[in-house]
Amino acid sequence: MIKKRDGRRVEFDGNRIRTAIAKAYWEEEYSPDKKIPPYAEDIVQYVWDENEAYELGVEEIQDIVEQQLMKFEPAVARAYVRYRYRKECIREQKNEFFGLLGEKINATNVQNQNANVDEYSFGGRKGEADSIVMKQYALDYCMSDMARENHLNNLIYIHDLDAYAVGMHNCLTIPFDDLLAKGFNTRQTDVRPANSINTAFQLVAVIFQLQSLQQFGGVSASHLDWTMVPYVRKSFWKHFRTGLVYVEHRLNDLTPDCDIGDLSIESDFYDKFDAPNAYGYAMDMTERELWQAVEGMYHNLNTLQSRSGNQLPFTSINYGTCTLPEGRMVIRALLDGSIEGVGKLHRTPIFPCGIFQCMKGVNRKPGDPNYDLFKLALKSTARRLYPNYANVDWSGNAGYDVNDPRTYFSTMGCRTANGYDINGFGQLKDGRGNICPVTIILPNLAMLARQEYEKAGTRGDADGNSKSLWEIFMALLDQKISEAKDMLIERFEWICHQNPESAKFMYENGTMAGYIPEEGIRSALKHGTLVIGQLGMAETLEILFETNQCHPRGMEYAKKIEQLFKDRCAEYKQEYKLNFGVYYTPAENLCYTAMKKFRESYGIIKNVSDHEYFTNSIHVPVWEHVGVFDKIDIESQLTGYSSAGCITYVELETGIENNLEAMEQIVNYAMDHDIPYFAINVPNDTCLECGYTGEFNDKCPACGSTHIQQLRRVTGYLTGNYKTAFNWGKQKEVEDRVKHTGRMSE
Amino acid sequence: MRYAGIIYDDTAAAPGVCLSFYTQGCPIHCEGCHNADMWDEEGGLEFTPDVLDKVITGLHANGVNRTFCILGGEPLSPRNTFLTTLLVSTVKEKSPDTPIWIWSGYPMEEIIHTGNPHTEKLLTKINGLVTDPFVLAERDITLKFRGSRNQRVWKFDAEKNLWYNIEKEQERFSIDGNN
Repeated sequence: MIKKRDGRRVEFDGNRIRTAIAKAYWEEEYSPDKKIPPYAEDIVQYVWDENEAYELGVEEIQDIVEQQLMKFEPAVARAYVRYRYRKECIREQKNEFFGLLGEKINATNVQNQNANVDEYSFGGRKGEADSIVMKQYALDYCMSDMARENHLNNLIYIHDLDAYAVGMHNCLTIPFDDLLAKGFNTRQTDVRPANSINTAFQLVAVIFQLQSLQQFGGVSASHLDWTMVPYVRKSFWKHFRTGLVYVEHRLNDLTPDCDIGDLSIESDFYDKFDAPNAYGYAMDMTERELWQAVEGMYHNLNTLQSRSGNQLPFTSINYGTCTLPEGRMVIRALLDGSIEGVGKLHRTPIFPCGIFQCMKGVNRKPGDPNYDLFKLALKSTARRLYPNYANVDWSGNAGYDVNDPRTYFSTMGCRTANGYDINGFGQLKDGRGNICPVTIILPNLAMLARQEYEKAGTRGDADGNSKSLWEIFMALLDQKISEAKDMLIERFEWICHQNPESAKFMYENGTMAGYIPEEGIRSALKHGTLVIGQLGMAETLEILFETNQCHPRGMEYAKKIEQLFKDRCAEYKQEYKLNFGVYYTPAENLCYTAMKKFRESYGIIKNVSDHEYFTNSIHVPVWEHVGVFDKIDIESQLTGYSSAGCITYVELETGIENNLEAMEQIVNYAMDHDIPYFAINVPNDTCLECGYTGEFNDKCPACGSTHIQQLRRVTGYLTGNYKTAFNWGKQKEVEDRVKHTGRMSE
Repeated sequence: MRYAGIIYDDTAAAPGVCLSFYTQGCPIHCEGCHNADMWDEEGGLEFTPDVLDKVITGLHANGVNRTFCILGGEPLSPRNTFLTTLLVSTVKEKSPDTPIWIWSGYPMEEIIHTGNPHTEKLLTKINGLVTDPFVLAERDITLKFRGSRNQRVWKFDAEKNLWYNIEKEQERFSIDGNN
């Protein structure tokens, strides 16, 4: 008997030694039919004898074989050592893999990669463990060496790698107009079209949830105010009929199935009844029903934990431009609902991410029809951080149709936006989304360029011409942008090869627009975007020029870098007929993990790696002391290069609730400076005893409780308490955030 | 002359984005004052003419029209009245449309009856005034533009030449000194 590694005792098997020696002897040419060297028998006999004297373990046997081989044929002994070493590596890899898996299964090393996932929950532990396996599989079996190496070497990061192998896509703006009007199918049943505002809002939550299971990213509604108009009308008509019967007692005026179609609540159709009491009743009841419906939606979207990790779907709703009376009612209800908050303590709703669409002549200035709603939006933002502000007049959304709100600029809450579709949908947002993103980690390219520059020294290249650090960097960046494009095409092809049955809800109901079954799912996916993201502009400029984009010289080079991104994406878009776009990546987890790896390679460099995270895309670093308008000035010079999504935020003081005039000036300033997507960060600490909301860190100033929830913005969304939900790097980033107003200087 | 500092983009003082100028030195010494470091008349920074230039430029920086706020410290203390008057008259001259607000720990009754011609003139040039000492027992963090409930917010009606309490409009002071 001998003793195996795992402690089991088994019969001595000489064949295992013979095979191992043969493998060492033949190396790559080995096959089971190859001759075994004659001395193998002597060695087997020797081991047998030793084992008779004293029961050996596997490692001891291998040591003896190695010594014996040295006597017979040293070259084979060396091959045997290499063979042993390789086997050892595989065992270690396996241990490491299962070690990681164990950490996730047991939640012993919680990283909070995604603030929306509870890594301690059953669902979270299972989901995170799955993710380890899926990531490894994707790296090993689904992509080219180029893609894998770029990812593993921290140069071009593949997002949501765990969703790669099964071929899911990222996010989608859902065509709610169609789904609510036509109804939809699920695996178990079908759902009839909505016939009241209450049902319509219920179905919005249901559809959000169903669609979010078909993909790995967020879901949005691009113009929910317009979408809901017909359902306000339907409800109004129902209530009016009830009013006629029970308030006015005029049963005979109606035929039971009289259908008014899509008639305005202000239509003179209602005047003809001459029933003011029924009309007043209908108005009152419709508003109540709408309020209840909206409140239901807010609660649903904060409670329907439907994905692995007990995640809520990432939901966003855009609204604000509808000037019809029904649309205005919806906008008001959405904002009132946001201000009201959810739960017993009226806490800030984390989902949906509300986005108010600012539009000239509609809601921007006194006298505009929805100006009152813009002011209400500001009130909500001051208290709830939502809504954010999308700029319908943004120059980058040129070519939209003013008569079609489905083409108005809208965003996925985090920042992702659907740009112009080269495959026929133009500026249409509905039914489109981001297919997949990659992110170029710019500071790593800058370090590689610097190393090459320093290596070349003054000697120059083969022709004696010395290239500047800038030229080396730009050449490398150009190469990496091209590789990023290839990586996106690789993944796009992989996604296109999936069976439509994998996302039946999406393809059967046309939530992703353009699907033609005979042509395969590519017919729908080709309208989505493929985006090249970026991380760490500020640190990159520090490496290259010891400055950043807050200073004119840094800005000059930042623009050149962005111009290259923009030009290349435009070229690829024409060449491949796919919607390549420049993306200012959220990088919620990457900002931290990329920095950890950067430090392992390069250590701590002043202004580059002396924080725990890389600065988001082209953002002004959070620690820079700049005023609120200066920050907008700086970022507005770069946001125009991004067609696939960006966000600009400013940090204000909590007291802003008492100064909505100032907020209005700030939001208007951002819109007037062509910022596409703007958000205001106000510290949002809520006392979980009394519900008081403000900025107070560890103790409630109203009741003294220390039971506090601290909400902060991450990417474009909010999450739960940042101190428990954010990863370490992001927590540090939050703590480093400098306020852009209220700072005393000389 | 001394001053404490300037907040170029302030959203916590008056309505709208403000440029807030903090005077140095205060004889009132309210318990719980959150600017106690501005009590010492010799503290803070030396006021020089270029500070005045910075204020004028700052009021319209980035093309944004700001409200001008003077806080402290006590802007209307005997030592600071001259500087406050200088600031107000310069801003009024160089930027006539800029609204001006002042925060004082003195009650309105005292401010309006000082008999000081500088103060009297000042009161016709500014738009908003927050008065009265901070009282810790009356502290309320939800109040607009002030720290304790006893403090009052006043606006100037230029046509009628009178100051009125924005919460109690019958409480008013005509600028010639008669109630």
